Amino acid sequence: MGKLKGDEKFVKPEWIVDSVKANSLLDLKPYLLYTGLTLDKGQQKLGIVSMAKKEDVTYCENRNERAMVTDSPAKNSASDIRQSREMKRAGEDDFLSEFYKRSRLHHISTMGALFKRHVTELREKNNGVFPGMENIENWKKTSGYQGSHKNEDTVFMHIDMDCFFVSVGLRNYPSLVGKPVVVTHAKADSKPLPRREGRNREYEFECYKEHWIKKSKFSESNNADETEAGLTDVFPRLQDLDETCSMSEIASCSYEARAAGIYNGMFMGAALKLCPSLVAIPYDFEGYKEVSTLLYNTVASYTLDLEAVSCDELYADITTVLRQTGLTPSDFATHLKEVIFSKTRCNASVGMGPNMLMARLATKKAKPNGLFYIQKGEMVEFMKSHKIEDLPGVGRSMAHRFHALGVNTCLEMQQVTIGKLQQEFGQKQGQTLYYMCRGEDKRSLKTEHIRKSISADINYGVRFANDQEMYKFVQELSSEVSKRMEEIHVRGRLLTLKLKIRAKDAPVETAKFMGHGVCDSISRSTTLVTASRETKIIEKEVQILLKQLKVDCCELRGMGIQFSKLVADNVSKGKQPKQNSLLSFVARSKIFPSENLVTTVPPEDIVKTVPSENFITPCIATPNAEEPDNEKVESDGKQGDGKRANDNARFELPSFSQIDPTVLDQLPNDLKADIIQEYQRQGIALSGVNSLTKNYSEPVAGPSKAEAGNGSSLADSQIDPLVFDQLPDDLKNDIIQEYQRKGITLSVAKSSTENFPKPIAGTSKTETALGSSVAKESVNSSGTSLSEKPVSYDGIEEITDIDASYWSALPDDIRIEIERDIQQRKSETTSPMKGWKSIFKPQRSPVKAAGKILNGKTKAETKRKTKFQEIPKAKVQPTIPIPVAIAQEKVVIDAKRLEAPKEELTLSGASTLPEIRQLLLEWFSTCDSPESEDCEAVSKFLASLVNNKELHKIEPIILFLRRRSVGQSDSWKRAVDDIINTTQLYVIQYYNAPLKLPSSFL
Amino acid sequence: MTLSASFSRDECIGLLVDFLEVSLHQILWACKLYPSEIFRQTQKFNTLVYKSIHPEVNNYIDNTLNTVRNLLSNDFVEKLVLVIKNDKPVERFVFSFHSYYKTTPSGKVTLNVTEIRQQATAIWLTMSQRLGSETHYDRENCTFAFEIHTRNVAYDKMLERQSTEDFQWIVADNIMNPNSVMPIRKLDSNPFCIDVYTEDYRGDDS
Repeated sequence: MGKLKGDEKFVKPEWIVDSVKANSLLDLKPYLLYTGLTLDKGQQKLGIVSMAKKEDVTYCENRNERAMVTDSPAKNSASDIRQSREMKRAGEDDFLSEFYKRSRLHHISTMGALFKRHVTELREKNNGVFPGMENIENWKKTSGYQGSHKNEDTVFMHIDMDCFFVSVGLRNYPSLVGKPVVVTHAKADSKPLPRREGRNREYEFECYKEHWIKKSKFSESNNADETEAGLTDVFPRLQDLDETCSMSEIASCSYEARAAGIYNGMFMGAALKLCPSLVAIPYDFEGYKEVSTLLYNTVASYTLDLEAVSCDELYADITTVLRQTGLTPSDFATHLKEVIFSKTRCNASVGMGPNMLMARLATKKAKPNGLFYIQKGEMVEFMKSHKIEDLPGVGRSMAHRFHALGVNTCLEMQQVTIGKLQQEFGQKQGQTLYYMCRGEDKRSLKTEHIRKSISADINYGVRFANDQEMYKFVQELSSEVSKRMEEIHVRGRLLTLKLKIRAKDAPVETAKFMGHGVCDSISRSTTLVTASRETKIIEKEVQILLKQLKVDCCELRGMGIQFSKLVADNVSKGKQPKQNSLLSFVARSKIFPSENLVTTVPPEDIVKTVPSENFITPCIATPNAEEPDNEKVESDGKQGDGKRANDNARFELPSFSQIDPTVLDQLPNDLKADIIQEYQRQGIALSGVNSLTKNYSEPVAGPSKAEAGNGSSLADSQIDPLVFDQLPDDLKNDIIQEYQRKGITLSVAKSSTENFPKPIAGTSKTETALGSSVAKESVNSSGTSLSEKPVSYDGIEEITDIDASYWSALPDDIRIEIERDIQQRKSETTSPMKGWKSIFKPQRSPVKAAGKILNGKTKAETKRKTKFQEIPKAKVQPTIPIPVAIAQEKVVIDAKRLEAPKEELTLSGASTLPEIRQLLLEWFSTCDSPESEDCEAVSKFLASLVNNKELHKIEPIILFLRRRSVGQSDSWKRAVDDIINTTQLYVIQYYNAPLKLPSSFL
Repeated sequence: MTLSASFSRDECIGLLVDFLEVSLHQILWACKLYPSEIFRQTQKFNTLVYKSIHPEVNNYIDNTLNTVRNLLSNDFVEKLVLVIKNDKPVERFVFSFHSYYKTTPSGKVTLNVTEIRQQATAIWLTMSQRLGSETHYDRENCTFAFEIHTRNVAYDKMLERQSTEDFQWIVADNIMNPNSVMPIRKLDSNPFCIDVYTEDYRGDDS
């Protein structure tokens, strides 16, 4: 063999025969025995075969192809023997099925899942009749129990079969009852195996140790001593191993065997040394299934408040049963145990307690074949005696960490503060541990079993000679995963490939025959477009991942395919439920009749009537909040009632902290005086943006209107009820209608300028700290006479609402800033897709309120808002207006992300252009005149596109809108213009210029 | 069949710089700032593109891209802008880098190469189509320049240190607001998110 060169190939003898038959050289591949690579890596199994046949090997020159052929009969007999005795190697035919036929873990795990499903099915089928109850009655009669016990507390029961595998196995070997018995793959009488080449047990264990130390050092900064000490914790079995003993693990051992010091998971070789009379019995998977089914059905005949843990372990809430039968927990447990034994001929141990943890710990006490009930009062005492390892979820590694802390018992653990535990073990686990060591357990039965992931892993027998074998294995594994998903009717979206690759310093051949040895684990995930369980798709994805990882197939020691993000079959494939369509939204908005909208409430009531959960209270709502509407009414030719005399007093001021003193100073004197006056009037409450409660009771802020009925729409809250009340009835109606039509596009204007000298005395303490800021003011306007640029933004109430004289008095850059700010505010109202709720709905208002700084603020929003605005502005000098806007925007975006963690922006569920077009088309065709809410929603969507820098998507939408609006009514045209203008303003804010559109629209 | 591959951070930046280089050449070619003789046809991502062969132009571009590469690896750069000027700026081609790398545990990102190629190609095509179809303004007297918008003031210091090199950057004047913006397209494929658009300074003559 040593003489063999890398390019020489072993083929089966049939290759020659078949080649001769076909009269040509056939493809070698199907006939390949193994490649040179296998030999180099010491491929164990095939190596033996060829080793044994060394003398039979002949060289055979056949044209240019050199082949090595083994003697046929000899080879066949050798492989027959091997197959009967040994595990197949991954990549060979039927490896997977063979593997799963034998794999203990596989059976245990799949059975757990199987019974979880079984319980669910039982529950679905149940018609309210529990046949077990009858049994209890009979049993009560025969055994003379009274059944007068009054049970008040909840009682959980934990049922665990005693050494399940052994008990079930012993049903076939009655003679072995009472003897030390274990269940394992290996034969108890198996002789020491011949030493295999290429392996070195001690060395491998050293490797394990080193890797473990490395890992533990990485995770926690233990010093070397502790790590050494920990080693004995983690590797307690090393001492009882030598070179030859069997490394087959013991799955289950009888109590007799346990008495001899044997424990589950021990290696068979070591166990035989401890107890030479040990008898090993094989697995009996059919038996396990049968007994488990019996067990579950039995318990289910009493109650269906079950939680399956595994094939031999389950929780039950027996409170109802006890109440109905009047039995004490212990009586019921006795009865149940009798029934289980009579049906399964296996013993079960039953623990009961006031919660699941107690029940479980009680079972430990009850074993073997007993029952134990912990009453509520005994709980604390009971816990004290326990070691921390007894707690579920505390394994070797965690126990080791506890030992390092000097904690060995639950009593000691009870002394540890919750903070310390959380610091050591993380928020959630720390808390769980804290309660657990006190015997408290808040869990309830998980009756709805939801699988989070599904996987198939094989880390045994994986030795690939070439890529073909590897891919073949991938195919088998894929179909296995696929099968498992099909069994529980799910599809998965996230595929994770887990690989175990031989660690660089690990020996090529492992101590455990065909085991994986010391490995580096790596995993890669990929998300499928739609949830799937098609074998082909899985296979393909795994192949891609394998290629990406550039795995050397010979170094591979284990592979697993896991699916998570599971979607049940009855849910539509992988797609999220669609959002409400525009139509349904439109329909919904019509539900709100006008009488709900405006109901005048005395000013004082605002404070009280505003539902607290909404935090909707106009903090600085001032009398003139109503102004814009009043204006509209006036411009419509309906004479208002002369309120305009108050114009100057009706500023709608931002909280004072938002005013940049320098800005204020540059304002015309009369304006300045007005602002100051207004602030003084509103008093100190304005200075405290944070002291919002004050704002609530602030008398000036008071007079505004909110409806107790529908939770105060913001728009309405901006109306001064005093003003409103004095309006003639028809005017009132007009206003109401206007509100309905316009939504809440009320007057807001904000002028922000740079250079502002000093804070105004007596008004605010906060503004000095906040430094430069932007002054905002709302100025009354005639609504029509703007001769400057803003006129072009006719559709935007906010700007047109600014008094022309004020507007012209402002410097250019201020005006730009105003525009931008208006836009900004609009954009904020844009936020998440909540947009689809009616603006008149209370929960909508906070968003709105945030947008309209001046008109009113919600409690929470005010704080946030001021932060948003002040902080970035304080940093950036006012000479650069653009970064200011952007800085704000970024915060806004963040806020948005918080609320709507959506990846793709959607307009009512539509994200692609055709979808959006379709949606808009429906919109156009279904409404005679556009609903303002819809317009807003569209604007918002476009704004969010700008936000996301998806300019190229906006252009077609705008063009489409404009095209559609051509033949439509004026209201439509105006709406579309509004949308376009709004969007353009938004674009300007980002890019400093409007989007270029093919033809002019200004 | 989609092609995907793992890229380290440097490789990602490399890919991005490649994309920028081709884009810049494409713009120069399409704007016809230079006689078409200095351009040669070549291929990138299976698409026909034009590349200048003028050593000084290329040198200028290369130096710029070197700086960009440097800045990208420090995460300092926000935008790269090619400005076409005629005393005043006429048009600016903006590459706005929103993201070009994502930190992963393995230090590598899996790119959907096919998608990136398609998008890059689409950007180039859109560029040349847009510029080709436009009424040509007087480009005779135009020059071009690069602007880099840095993300960090700290870069000023880096700039000083960098002065040893013979390629120097100067602080830009205040940038005028353009008259309109036009999106070209977005390179939007994990981890890249690069916004490409033009800013137009010409009067609204349409």
